[in-house]
Amino acid sequence: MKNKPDNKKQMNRRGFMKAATAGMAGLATQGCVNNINWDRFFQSHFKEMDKEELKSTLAKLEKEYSAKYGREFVVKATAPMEGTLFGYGLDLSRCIGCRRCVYACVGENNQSRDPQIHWISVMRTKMGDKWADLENSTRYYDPALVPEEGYFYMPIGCQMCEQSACVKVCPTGATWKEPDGIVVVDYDWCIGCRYCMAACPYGARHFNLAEPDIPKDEINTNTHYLGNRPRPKGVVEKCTFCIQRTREGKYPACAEICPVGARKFGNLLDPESEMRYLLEHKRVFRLKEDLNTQPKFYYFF
Amino acid sequence: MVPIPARVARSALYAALACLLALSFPSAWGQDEEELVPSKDHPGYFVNPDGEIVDEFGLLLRLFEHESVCVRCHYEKEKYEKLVLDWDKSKHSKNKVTCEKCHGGNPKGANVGEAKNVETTNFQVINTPLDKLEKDLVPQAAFKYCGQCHGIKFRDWSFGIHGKRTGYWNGEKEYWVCILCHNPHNPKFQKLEPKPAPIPPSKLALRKKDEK
Amino acid sequence: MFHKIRNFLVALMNIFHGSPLYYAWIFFLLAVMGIGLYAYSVQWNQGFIVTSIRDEVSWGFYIANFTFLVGVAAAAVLLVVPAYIYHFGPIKEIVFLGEIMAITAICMCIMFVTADLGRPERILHMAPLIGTPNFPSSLLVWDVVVLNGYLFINAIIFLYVLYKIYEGKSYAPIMPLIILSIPWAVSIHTVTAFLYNGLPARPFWNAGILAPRFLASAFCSGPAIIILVFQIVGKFTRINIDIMAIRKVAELIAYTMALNIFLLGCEVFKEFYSNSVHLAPLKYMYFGLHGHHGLVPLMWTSLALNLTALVIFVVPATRRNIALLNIGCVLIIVGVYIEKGFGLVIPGFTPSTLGEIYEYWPSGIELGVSVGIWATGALIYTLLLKFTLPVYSGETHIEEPEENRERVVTA
Repeated sequence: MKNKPDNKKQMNRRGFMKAATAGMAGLATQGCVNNINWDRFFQSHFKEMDKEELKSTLAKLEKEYSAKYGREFVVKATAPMEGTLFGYGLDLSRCIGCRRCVYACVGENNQSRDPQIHWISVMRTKMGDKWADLENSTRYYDPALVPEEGYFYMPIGCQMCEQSACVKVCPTGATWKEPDGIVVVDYDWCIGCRYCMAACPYGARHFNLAEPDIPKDEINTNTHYLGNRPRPKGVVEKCTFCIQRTREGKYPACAEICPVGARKFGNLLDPESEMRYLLEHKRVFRLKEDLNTQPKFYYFF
Repeated sequence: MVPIPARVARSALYAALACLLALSFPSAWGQDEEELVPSKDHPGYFVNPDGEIVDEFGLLLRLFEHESVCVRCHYEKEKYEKLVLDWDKSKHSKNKVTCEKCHGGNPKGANVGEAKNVETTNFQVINTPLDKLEKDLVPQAAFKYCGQCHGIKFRDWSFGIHGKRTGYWNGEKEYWVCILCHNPHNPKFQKLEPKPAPIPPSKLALRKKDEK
Repeated sequence: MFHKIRNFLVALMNIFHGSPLYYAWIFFLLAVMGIGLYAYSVQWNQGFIVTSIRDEVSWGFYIANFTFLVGVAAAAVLLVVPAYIYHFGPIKEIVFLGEIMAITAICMCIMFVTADLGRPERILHMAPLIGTPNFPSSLLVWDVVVLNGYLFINAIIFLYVLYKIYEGKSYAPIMPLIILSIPWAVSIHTVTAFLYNGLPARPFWNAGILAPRFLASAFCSGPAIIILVFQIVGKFTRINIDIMAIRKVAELIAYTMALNIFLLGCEVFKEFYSNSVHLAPLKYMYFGLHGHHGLVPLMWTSLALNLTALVIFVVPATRRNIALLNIGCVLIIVGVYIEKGFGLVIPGFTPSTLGEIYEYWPSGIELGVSVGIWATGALIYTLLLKFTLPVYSGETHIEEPEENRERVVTA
């Protein structure tokens, strides 16, 4: 587009003149058509792709991302493992609110740096305060050192609900729960209506307000179709329990980085797993249990 | 009974100990307290005429309160400042977890032979620096020493609930032992600098202009 | 058949004939649409960052307008019932004004929803066969179905009745569709209410009273717009608007207005008396929360406007005074627009699910796009009216096949 739009939100006089003269003549239309990635436009829904189509789609994406970021990309579509249902545990008495997990997640999962997207919100609450509605909590605390006396911290990301409100409301089926319990989004199928964001009780879904900006040297090139591959503007994204790692047996990035070991991850169907031990021996609660979303994210202490 | 404030009690104990010690080591402990100079490197501590770091009573910290006197012979300025001062701040110092509880030995021994003539099978393990220790001995050290008091934590740790595991949730893991996260001389987890707070929605706008 | 198409085209040509005032109005609307298109092109190219929509308040002015307009569309039923079911003469003559309004409002709804999409070019992913509509699970799919269905039904009824009136024949064959349009009108607003209602994450919307409140507020603001439009049309065209029609509609407004205020009162009582954590959004609206008072002046203004209008409409003497009635209509429209636009969508997100308060206020781009869509709506309504009126009043002279020559225009 030749006429670069004003970055300012205000509609000024020049804007009006421009609009009234050239606007109708198709200035906008031209811009619109140029902005569409036609290859992706005709791509099928992930679940409807056959093996051949999936293979060619992944190759196409790898090529596209490699060209864009100047580095070799791997875009996988690793299938869920048999007999796994992922669960997550977080030790509230350990968490010190250092936000290491937030930034490890951003790096691992290629979240946009500008405008900023964080999949994890670490809420700080005063001890003894009412916190059920989280209104007295904040995620903007910024002391020199953490933990602060008299506060506790609660990181919140996607709770991977069994009864996911977000999946229920999506008009196009662009988000769904995988057999291993991970709620995923097909970024090339999402229409950006943000109904899922209204439905999510945990603020876990995030919208790409602009074309995501990720420095070329920081991009993670090991990606999954349903996970951390670069997203386009105008679609919703969310935590996937690091699907590109966990489906290969690795721990999620947030669990690996946590300096206090507050983050636990494992297979809920495996009686020997850390998660099962935790559920059987610790005092466990789930966020907003009254909504019956049945999260697979357990807070314990 | 009127409860005695802890501080008063402690002072009294110190005073008593000071008298006792003054009798046994007249030359070392005969100086007046005025001669203690506040330490520059270690706020809250003092330097005595011998250049040792001591508390406000001129005592070598709680070690003496607990009658654990290893440091009288094993005094090395650097080590002492790094390890013993750390220990002094920790809960361990308040709970009588003194040197010999982990390092072995008998601080009440009259001479070196007596002091070290104790049955402590892992005496060598705990006295070897971590990086020189054989790899499979590390967990043992953790079990043996921390686990003997911290039973519940130890149990949680062995099931992967306390502490950290990295690697593969369904395969090979690295088990992070106690001392990889906790400083054994001051085990309480130290405060960290938090990463930057997120940008609030009211301030969220494109920072960079499109450069295409 | 040939004649029918030809006659349609002749009637269609009417939209190009008009007074200078008509042309000025059309060009004014086109210019405003230009602003809207420009604003939308900015949003398209840069993304929603140019709007005030953020993760914390993920729906804003577009969806607020959408909700208001669904109500306007549904309100056409208040003309359809007395006209077609009770054959109330004065309204029967002008029921088409309501139908055009429903058609226009639905078109605007569709535009507002499309403007709110991050990837509007993928909208067909919601369509059957080509896409993967999440039906019947997603209420948004339901809404698309009922809105488009309502548009379709109204367009068919409008064109068919117009054609039959023009031919001087009975439009009775379409009566079943007319009757269907009545529950359908209720359904579009109910489904839109359910869209919000079904979200347990948002306690403010998750109240059973929401759909009735939607209908009540729609049935006062929609007819209020219709009353004003009646008078404007009566002034600028040869169509004669019977004062009885206006009185009848005003009477209906009096009932729905009272119901609307009553339902609001129920909601306010329940939340404030029980004083649970779910009170927060209502408290934010009317009193401010944790030092944030963004909506407080607006909401009290809205309440004051609605109460004043209620008095005007409920007292028969003031209701019959045409000047006061018009003031009342404006008060209701503004009052309900605030109540349903800002007062419904934004408090649903404030505080957010994580207890954060982000004070949403539409950005210039959002206002530009919205104004553009309103102008488009006004243009659609004007052109439909311009097309309809001459046919309706028998002004259009059309060459007829021999056998139809003796036809008389009856309207």
